[in-house]
Amino acid sequence: MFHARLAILLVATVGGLVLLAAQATRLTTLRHAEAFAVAESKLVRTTWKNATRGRILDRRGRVLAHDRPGYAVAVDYDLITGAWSEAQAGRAARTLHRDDWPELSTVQRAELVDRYRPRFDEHLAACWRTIARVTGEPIDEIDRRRERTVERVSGRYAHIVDVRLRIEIERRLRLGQEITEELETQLAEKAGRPIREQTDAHVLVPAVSDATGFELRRRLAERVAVVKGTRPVPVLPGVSVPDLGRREYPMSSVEVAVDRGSLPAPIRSDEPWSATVRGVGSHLLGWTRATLYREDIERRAASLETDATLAEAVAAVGSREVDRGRYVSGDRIGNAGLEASLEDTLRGWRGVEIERLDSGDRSLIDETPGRDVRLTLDAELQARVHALLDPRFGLTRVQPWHDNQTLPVGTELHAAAVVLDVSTGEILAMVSTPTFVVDDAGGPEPLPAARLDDPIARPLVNRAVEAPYPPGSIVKAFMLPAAVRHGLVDINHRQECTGHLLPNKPLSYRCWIYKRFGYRHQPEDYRDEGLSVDEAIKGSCNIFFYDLGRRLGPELMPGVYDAIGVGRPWNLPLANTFPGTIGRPGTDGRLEPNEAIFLGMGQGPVAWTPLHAATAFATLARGGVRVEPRLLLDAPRAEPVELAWPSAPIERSLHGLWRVVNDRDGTAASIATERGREPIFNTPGVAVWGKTGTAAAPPLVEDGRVLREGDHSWFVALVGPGHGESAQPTHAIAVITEYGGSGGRVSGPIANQIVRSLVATGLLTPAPPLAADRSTALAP
Amino acid sequence: MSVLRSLIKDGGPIAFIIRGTHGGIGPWYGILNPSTPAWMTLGASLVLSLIGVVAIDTASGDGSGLGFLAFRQVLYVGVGVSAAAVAVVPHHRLIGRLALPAMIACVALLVFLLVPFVPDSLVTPRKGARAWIDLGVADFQPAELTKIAFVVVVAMYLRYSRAHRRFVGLVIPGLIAAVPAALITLQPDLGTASLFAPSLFAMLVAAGARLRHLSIIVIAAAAVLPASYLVMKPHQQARIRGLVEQIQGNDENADSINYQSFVAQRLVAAGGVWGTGEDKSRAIVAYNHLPEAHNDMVFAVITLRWGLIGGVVTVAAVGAWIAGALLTAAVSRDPFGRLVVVGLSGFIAAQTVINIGMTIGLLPIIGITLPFVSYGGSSMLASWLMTGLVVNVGIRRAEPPFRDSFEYGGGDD
Repeated sequence: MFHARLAILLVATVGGLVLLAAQATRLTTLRHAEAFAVAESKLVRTTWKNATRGRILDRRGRVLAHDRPGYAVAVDYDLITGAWSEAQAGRAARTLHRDDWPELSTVQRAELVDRYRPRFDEHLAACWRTIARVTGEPIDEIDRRRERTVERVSGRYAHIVDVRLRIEIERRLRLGQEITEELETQLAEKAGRPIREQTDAHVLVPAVSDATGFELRRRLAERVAVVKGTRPVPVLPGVSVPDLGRREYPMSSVEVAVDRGSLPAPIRSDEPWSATVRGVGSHLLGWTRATLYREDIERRAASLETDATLAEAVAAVGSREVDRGRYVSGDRIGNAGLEASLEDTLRGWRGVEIERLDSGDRSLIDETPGRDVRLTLDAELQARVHALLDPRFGLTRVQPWHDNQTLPVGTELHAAAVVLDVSTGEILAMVSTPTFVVDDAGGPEPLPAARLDDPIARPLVNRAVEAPYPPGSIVKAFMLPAAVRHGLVDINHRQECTGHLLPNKPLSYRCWIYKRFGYRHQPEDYRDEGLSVDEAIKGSCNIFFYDLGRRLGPELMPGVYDAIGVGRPWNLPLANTFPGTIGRPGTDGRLEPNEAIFLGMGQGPVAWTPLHAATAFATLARGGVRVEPRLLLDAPRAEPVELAWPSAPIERSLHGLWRVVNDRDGTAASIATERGREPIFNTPGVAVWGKTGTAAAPPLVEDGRVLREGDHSWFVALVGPGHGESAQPTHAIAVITEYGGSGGRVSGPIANQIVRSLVATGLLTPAPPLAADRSTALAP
Repeated sequence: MSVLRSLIKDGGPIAFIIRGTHGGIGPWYGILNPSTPAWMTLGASLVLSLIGVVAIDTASGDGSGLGFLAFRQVLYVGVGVSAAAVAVVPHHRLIGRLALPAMIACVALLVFLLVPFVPDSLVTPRKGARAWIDLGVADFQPAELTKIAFVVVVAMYLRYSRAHRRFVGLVIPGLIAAVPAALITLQPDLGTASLFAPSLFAMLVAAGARLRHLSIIVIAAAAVLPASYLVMKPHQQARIRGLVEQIQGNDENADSINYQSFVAQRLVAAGGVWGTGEDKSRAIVAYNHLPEAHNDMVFAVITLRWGLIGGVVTVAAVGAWIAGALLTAAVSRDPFGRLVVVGLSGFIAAQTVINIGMTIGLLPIIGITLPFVSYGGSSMLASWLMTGLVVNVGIRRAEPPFRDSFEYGGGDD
């Protein structure tokens, strides 16, 4: 029996050992390759070096954004919150009372900690004072930034804990687990682990001079004993002076001098207006930040998955696994505008030092600075247009001659302007006011002192591409080509202005001139058949275009707007662009017959942007060839698209646009001020086609309070060197002034000044004067 | 000469020590059995010790000569071998007489470790456990010697007993195991404490306890085991959860509670079938930061360096040790010797299975050494003493009168 028992023991032991051998075999064969790779990877230490971010240049190579070195003052989060004092006081108490500590009750311990705490609080306060003194920042400002940091981080923390908990609970529910109260407490505890921002240092003073940086760095080593008998703590605990570098926007703030001799008489002057304009191009350029979020890493990974070009580029300079464009903490990351959308181009390739820990071999790959990006913008034109839209200049402030029905004289108006090169679609200038400047901390500061979320000023919104506007009368130029194309009318189509479209309904579908003055538009030769299209455009007759809208009807009208770009997303490196919409929400773009009538003159369920307007007019100027607007000079060009518009009605519409500006009674021929009547456009040697739009706009309402109401003022112009209608348009200009009222009186003079800026910057060379100067011919 | 002759003559002191009795038939050296299977344990011990020294050097040395820890391990092996040689000399019957006092001394030392006011200079807590007594030149771990004393005491108790054939008769052996196991658990050193049960079971099985009684105990323990999770310390619970997560293929805690286990398995797997060789394995161990690489996790270093081949050789060597010991028990006719050998085998087997099992991810991480291989003096001394005792039993032929031990006839268990 004993031997049988021994046999049992032997079998049991051998069984156990065989199990061990089996598992060892499994590991060493099935999992060998993967495990070996991981184990070997630990022999390699990789040190990443930062790459300089690429520059953003204008079309002539002027620097709009670039990196430069710079020190910042950063402080650990537990100092910012004051948790440091508590921890230090606790440490001091334990050190000084180490013999009795184990016997003390919790309350006694807390009392001891409280005894030492004030001294550390005072030390911390002294630390803030030192930072304030050395950097020259007011102490209040330092305190304010600390508070803001705590607010931001604790808000983010609460959010992240919440999200973590939700994700974990959802995961467990998916696995079929029951969420008991106990488990939830457990999960909440796990989700409550600190986020990176709570362990990282935060920048308190974003940019200090080199001298200040050196001074602070020198002081970092100094230590002092706050409580006798305890270890000395740094005079500036938790403070670091990293060389974060700085992103500078040299053209963001520039001195501009604008001639005032061509302004409307009431604000005309022989002295040029010179001022510093700030925030030039900031809507387009955006800004960067120095805080790394998990989303950045995820976005990069996602781009590598989806963007084959990027993945190829990454593989070319490193490998799929070693992405030299990877993010590490402390990186400068594009946060908005082109800085964000061109992130992958601008950020460049990190240098990397790879050290084999076992052999000590090192290999070094130098960093490659990010690629420069050239924009189609002309920085000088951008700055000048920016100045023109500055309320201080006078054009974007309600003036008596504006005849604004809703806003008192002197009110600042918010406006946007786009200038396109007709032949290429290149955006030469895109301005929206008010705007913001990128402050030293890298974030947006509104200009002037408005709030970033001010509902009227909305300084963060780039009105030129982000804000939806009713197109209004400016679309009248496209209706005849569309109607002729569909065979609804011929180019000699005439329509009588009856004041109101429906004979028995004098209060609806009215012409503006009838509504305002009780008049009707008259053909020049007083013929009975009614107005020709160019006469209708010249006088902006609503009845003519209501009629075309009715003829086009709800079936064809969406196609008309599609042809001029409404609803087509822009292929531009800008976020939040508005593609334009047609049709009431929820109708899938289907229209009602009455809506089609309104859409004939640009009202009703449709919205677009100034960029749409400029692009559509440029399309008209090209004879019906659509070219995508461009912002990146070196980006591949999209193929031009030929619209199926016959050329004859296009020419008739252009003729109408010519007459709007150049006929004595065109809606944009002249303005009447208290000093008399004067032409709106007055640049010698430049031919101007244009269209006014006084677009009824929905009131701006917040919390039931009407903040702004009335009409948006549009002016869209085509301009080119020459004296007569035979000239070729080379530039398209679109201007909108929010709630500005009359298109001609408010936005017209701005468009005129933009023409002058085009000339002043050399982008438009006026034709040499004719023998008899024609510019005076328009004078009253 | 005459003094020497009087020392070695039959009935002299040396004969007494060797023979364990003043009587006996024939010359005292007649009882020696040079062809005992116990030599297998000696051979296995040497192979394992050698593997251990080289593996420790791989884990901690810099490749230029024998590293500091490996050198110390060589000294420990020397001490162990010497102790084993000494342990071979006196007849195990004499050793049995020392068992109870030795056990009492060991228990006293275990109690001493737990006394709160013993200064840290004498009992230095390591990784939170009060398990070592500082002897100046080296630290000494009483639990290791307790294992041997325990085996001898239980063997003494069971050798002529029939009580364990009844269920209540298992209580006393159980208590003998429970006292040291409880004290060691309090250190806390759950790993060493957990070895007493397998060893006791091995001895009870060999001594003829009814298998159904033992099965009832095993089943009851298995039923109670899940409840023990509730009274575990948080770090112990975390290790159990970690093992469950690993088995589920969840690696989200690979950097925290499962770190040690993940790194150990990675290194085992990295070795492949043939191993990575000396230089590479040194570098990989160093930069993968395997905790306790030279100690509890030494098996990972062995497979990393010599691959599956090295791992299997190690496991086989332990198998050879146990086979040698069990054969010794089979050949021996002395009930006390038999039980001692079986009890020691129980310790070696349990310790090996638990240590390697945790290294390759089959068991939760628990601090326990691989006998003969892991770094450490107390562990080495205890292991070699075990080898010495097995040889001690194996090298002696039982002298008449013989008496059948543990033969209770078939079918009654």
